[in-house]
Amino acid sequence: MKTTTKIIASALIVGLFVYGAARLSTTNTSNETVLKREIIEVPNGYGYQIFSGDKLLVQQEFIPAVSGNIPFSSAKDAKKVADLVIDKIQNRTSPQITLEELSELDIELLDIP
Amino acid sequence: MKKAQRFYRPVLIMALSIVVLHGCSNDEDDEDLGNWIDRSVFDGSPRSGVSGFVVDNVGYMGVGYDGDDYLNSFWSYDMEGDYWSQKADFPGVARNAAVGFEVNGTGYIGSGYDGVDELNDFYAYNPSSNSWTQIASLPETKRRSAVAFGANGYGYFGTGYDGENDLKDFWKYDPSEDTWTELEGFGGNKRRAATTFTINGIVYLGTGVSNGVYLDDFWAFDPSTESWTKKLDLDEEDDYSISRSNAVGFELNGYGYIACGELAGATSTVWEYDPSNDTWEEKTSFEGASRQDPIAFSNSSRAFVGLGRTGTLYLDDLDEFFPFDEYDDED
Repeated sequence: MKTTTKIIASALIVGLFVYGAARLSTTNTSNETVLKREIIEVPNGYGYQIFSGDKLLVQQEFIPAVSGNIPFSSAKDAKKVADLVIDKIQNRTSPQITLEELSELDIELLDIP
Repeated sequence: MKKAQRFYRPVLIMALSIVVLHGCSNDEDDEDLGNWIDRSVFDGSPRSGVSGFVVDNVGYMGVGYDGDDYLNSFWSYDMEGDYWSQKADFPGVARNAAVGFEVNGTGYIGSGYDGVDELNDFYAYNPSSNSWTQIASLPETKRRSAVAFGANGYGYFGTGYDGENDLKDFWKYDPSEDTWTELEGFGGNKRRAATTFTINGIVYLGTGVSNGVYLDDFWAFDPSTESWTKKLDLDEEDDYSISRSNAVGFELNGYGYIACGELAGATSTVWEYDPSNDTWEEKTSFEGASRQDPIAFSNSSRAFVGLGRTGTLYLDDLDEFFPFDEYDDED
């Protein structure tokens, strides 16, 4: 390898390291805010979406864990469950919702005819 | 020159991976064709020994084991939208090493292991009503690590491990009668943790392990005649390294694939089967960490592989496989 090529390659690599390190440290300071929820309207009720940055992770048109296609009866219910899911992801625990949690949160499970 | 290259290449790759802030795999083998692209991070608990099936463009998966608990939550992955939804809980006892198969738009999950016992109960999932119904249990031996597939309007189920012995019997499930009948004629060895894929209506079965020996026989099942035909062994060519257990099998664009699994430790290698001449070719290895007990979703034109475990580290990502693209380690 020619010396000039070597110097250019070295400069490039050092530059990349500096750039990368700078980016790493800035994202570290503004971390923890990557997850957000959006309440969506679906036929006969509400659902939610959870985004990681711009990436859609979860779309819940119906209440999780429950048998049947039952939407949330209110935006408030959808918010409660979506927030619990986000809490779980942020605490690095499993974000699956159980039937017990739905009843603890007083989620209405009325089947729409 | 060579020396400099050897030094600069890894350093450059490292620098690039810092910039993109993204898990960037550095597979050393870039001669094989095929590329993997990261897809949705599975948002459920990281789990292995999951079971599932595909209906249209949606992959369904559930149950499994997360290292602490046996699970009964059940999820769908939308291949078009690239997102997950939590569906109705699996109604049977939480388990792993179960089987999943699809027949005429209905999904089935059954058998498996709950941490204490092997199981023989089965459940049907209706995707449009998001609901489960228990169906007839397998009349014979309870087991885990079996194989199952849907073909020609029936479910087929066989091999596995009953807690003491590996098995080689096969059973046929008739959804219209809700009955199981034994199917004679499988000439292969008893085994557990084998895998199958289906190409143009023919089901191919291979791999698996019995008494510590990875099996190298390979079989084709024609559902129209319910007959088995022996194909060339998985060690037919000297450079074949296909035998393994706990792998996934899937079909994509007329070829069969066996990916990941276990061969004295987790492996990430991928082999492609060409049914026209009964030959195998190695493809680019799975770009995530190597894993056993993963799951594959394929709708024949797209395929995704993910989840599973390597050692005690449980993994929770999903990658899409593009078998004919050039390998690109930056996606």
